[in-house]
Amino acid sequence: MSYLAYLTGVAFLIWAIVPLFKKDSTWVSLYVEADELADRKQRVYGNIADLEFDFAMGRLSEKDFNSIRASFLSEAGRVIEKIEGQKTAGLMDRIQNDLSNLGKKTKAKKKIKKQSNCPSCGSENLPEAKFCMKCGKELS
Amino acid sequence: MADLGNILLFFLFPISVFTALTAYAAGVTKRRGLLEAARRGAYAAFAVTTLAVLALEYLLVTSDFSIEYVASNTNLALPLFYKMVALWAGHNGSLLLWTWIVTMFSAIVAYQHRHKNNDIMPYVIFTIAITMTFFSVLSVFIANPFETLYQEIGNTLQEFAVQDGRGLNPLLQHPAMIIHPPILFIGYVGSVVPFAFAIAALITGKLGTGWIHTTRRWALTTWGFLSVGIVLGGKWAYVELGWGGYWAWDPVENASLLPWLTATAYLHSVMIQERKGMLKVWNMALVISTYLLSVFGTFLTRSGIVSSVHAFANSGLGPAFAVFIGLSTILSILLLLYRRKDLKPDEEMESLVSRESGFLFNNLLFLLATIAVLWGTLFPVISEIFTGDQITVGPPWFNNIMIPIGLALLLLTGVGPLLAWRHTSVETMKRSFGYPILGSVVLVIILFFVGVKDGWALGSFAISFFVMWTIVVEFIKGAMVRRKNSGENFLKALYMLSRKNTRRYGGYIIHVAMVVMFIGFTGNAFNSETRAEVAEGDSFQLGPYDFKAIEIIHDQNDNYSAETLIMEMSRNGRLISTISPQKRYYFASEQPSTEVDIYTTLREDIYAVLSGMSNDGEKVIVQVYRNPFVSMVWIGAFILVVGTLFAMLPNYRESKSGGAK
Amino acid sequence: MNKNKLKFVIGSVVIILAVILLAVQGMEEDTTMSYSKSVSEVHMLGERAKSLTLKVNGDLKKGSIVRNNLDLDFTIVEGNSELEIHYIGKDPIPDTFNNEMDAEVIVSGKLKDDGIFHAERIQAKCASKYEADYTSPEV
Repeated sequence: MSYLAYLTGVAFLIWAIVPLFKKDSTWVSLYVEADELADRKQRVYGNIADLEFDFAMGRLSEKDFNSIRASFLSEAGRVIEKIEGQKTAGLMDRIQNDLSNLGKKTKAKKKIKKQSNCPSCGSENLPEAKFCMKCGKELS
Repeated sequence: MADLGNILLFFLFPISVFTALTAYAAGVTKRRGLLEAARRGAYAAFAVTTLAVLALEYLLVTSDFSIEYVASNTNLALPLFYKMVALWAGHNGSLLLWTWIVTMFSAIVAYQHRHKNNDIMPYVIFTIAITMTFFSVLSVFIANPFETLYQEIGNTLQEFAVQDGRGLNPLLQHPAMIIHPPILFIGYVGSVVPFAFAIAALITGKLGTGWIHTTRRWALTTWGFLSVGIVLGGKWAYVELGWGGYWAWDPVENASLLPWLTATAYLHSVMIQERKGMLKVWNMALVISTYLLSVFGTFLTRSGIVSSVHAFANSGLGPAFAVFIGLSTILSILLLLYRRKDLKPDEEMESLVSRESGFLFNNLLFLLATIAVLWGTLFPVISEIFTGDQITVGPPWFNNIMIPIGLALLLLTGVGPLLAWRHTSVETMKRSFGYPILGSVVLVIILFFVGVKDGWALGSFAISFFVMWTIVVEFIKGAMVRRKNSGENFLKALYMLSRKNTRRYGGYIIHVAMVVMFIGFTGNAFNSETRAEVAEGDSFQLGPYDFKAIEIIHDQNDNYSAETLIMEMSRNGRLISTISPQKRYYFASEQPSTEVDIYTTLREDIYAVLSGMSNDGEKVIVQVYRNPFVSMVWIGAFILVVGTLFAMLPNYRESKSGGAK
Repeated sequence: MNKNKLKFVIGSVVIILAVILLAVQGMEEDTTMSYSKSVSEVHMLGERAKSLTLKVNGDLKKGSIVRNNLDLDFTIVEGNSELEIHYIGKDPIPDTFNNEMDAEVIVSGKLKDDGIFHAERIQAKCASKYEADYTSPEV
């Protein structure tokens, strides 16, 4: 009976060891800065959504609401410019559009490009990036 | 079968070590093959532990009394069901259960993230594998449930089997006790997942909210299980220990409360990090403490360092746990120090009257509560070190400090959500709080004239009323705002509103649960009791209730013999029920056990205990408690579960075209 | 430090001080704190023992339990020191409590001038017997 147990244990160990001998490849990690920017974008959008909710529930005056909202919007603009690495036209319209679609279904699952690799240096960048975070070359 | 289990369990040790090593190597080299090997290691660990658990179950069910654990915790006459759950009746078995849950969670986490988060996963698996290694060492080498019984014959030790086991502790033969340990353990062990992600974030330097989002459901699930586990423990103490209450600030109870306090603090403070980028270090510290306190809780119940009514034996596991907890604490602190520059807050506090400051005070109170409970629990140890006297602080000390903290926290659940982020003006505060405050004041005046004179109770009722009012208004107002924008009817709007932000409204439901439970706790201020020695035909009184002893029955079956007192209970002269407390004597374990009888209404419990026979055997001593509002505690716990489940639902997403705004 | 931060710090300090005050005020020698002692240690304390709330542990002396209606008297021993206990509490007496049992008992209460210990609570340690000391099994 007990040899069966040894057999089972050893079999599991071998099964776990096998991948070590397979042909191997490495992954490249996403830049910490890129992560942080994505984080900040999410935070600003979340803040604006909360602000609008609080205002609708009558928790802050219209004056406060407008001034705080304006400062959030400009922050959102700064973050997006940083992510994309360039000044973009119609930025405010895009943000407004993003905001009104917040918490709604995105139409048909777009092919999600997880990361985009820089053609010149190979580093990975956020999907929406237009310029490489590392070498500054344009991404295709 | 014992060999089989033992050998399989033994394999957990090399597999855990292998998993930890390959995971760490994968993190450093970023090689996919290594990560895959670590993942498989996690699956393999789960597989061998599962087989070992099944082997132990087999031994328990077939009553193999050559195994010490089986002989100590079961006997032949024990019903099959109780034989099965004896897996967690003793500490070797419950340690195996702990280990098994750790391996299960690590396998689940490895599987969930098999295609994503490659950067942090190696360190997540590494952290869990270290925990796994520690528990495998305990289960295999220190507290092995497969140990056989030995007997000295001449100079050699020989295995032997006993005819019948000692049986399951009668106190544990109760439904709540059957599910309480696994649920509490899932809560304890679950904290390892957020902990592992936090440690991975610290190691890799990916300190954004990524790890928080990834572990949100884990943290919430863990918290839910911990809450339910604590309440079930209370329920068990209430119906089984026979002293008329459910919470006595006993070390073992405190041990389960401690990680709950820090976990609750964490669930609130993450929101500040998400919105303001503050408290990054603090959130890490909370997640780490929750995990350490969970291990500490296991340690406290299993080491006998502080004596407790739950009275687990000193098992020699103490030093191992102390070393593990000590090392984990030191390493975590070093990691936090190492990353302290990257954990600076992005923004500053702006106003004392704002949502974030509400959260901050909430966290301060939870922190103080944690420290207070920890201090009180460890006071016998602390005082012995400093004064040489082992001094225990009793429930009055805990109540004195925890009632004000609890009420302050309850008050915050009403105030906090109504404050806006950043700054709330005086005008809007007046609008939000005017009527609820007025209502609470009126309630206090009414209650005072009805006869409630206890200050804490009045405060508690007033705050409960205030919080309930504000939460209900939140739901109604939100629904009305939505109705105006979308044109849905009120109920549809209410539903859609909460489905679109399950976290916020699930949270509110949990707040309601806390209010209901606090009403239950407040009932303790009005408890009353009486004790009587009665023969058949005698009667006595408690408040408006009359009790008449009808019959004393002597009875027995294979498992135990029993004495039952049957009483008729009437209220204001009208017969409402019979109530029959019982006393049992279990043959196998040679232990008596009290079976209380409880008559429950929403308003109060009538709780009867048969505390003993008189000398001549003709009379019995019966104790009756009248405990108002106890059922509120259990109802509150039920609402809490509903709220937690609701908060875990994914947010409902409307399609882009439909719906206004 | 800006003004808002200062306000917050003041608020926090007030709360922390309040909690510390509650903790200190709750530590009263005669009510909330109890000293854990064994039977022989109680005798060594001498007169001081009478001013403290004590938690005394010892073994139940077999056959010493005397019940008289709702009253209960018994003796606990440790080596050759003994302590007479008079139970004045209201809670039901623990299950392990009868004259045939080997029970380790913890009583909480106060030592009175007549040398009899008035116990408000009795705990009998029993669950631990299920573990560890698995003694004299029949073959």
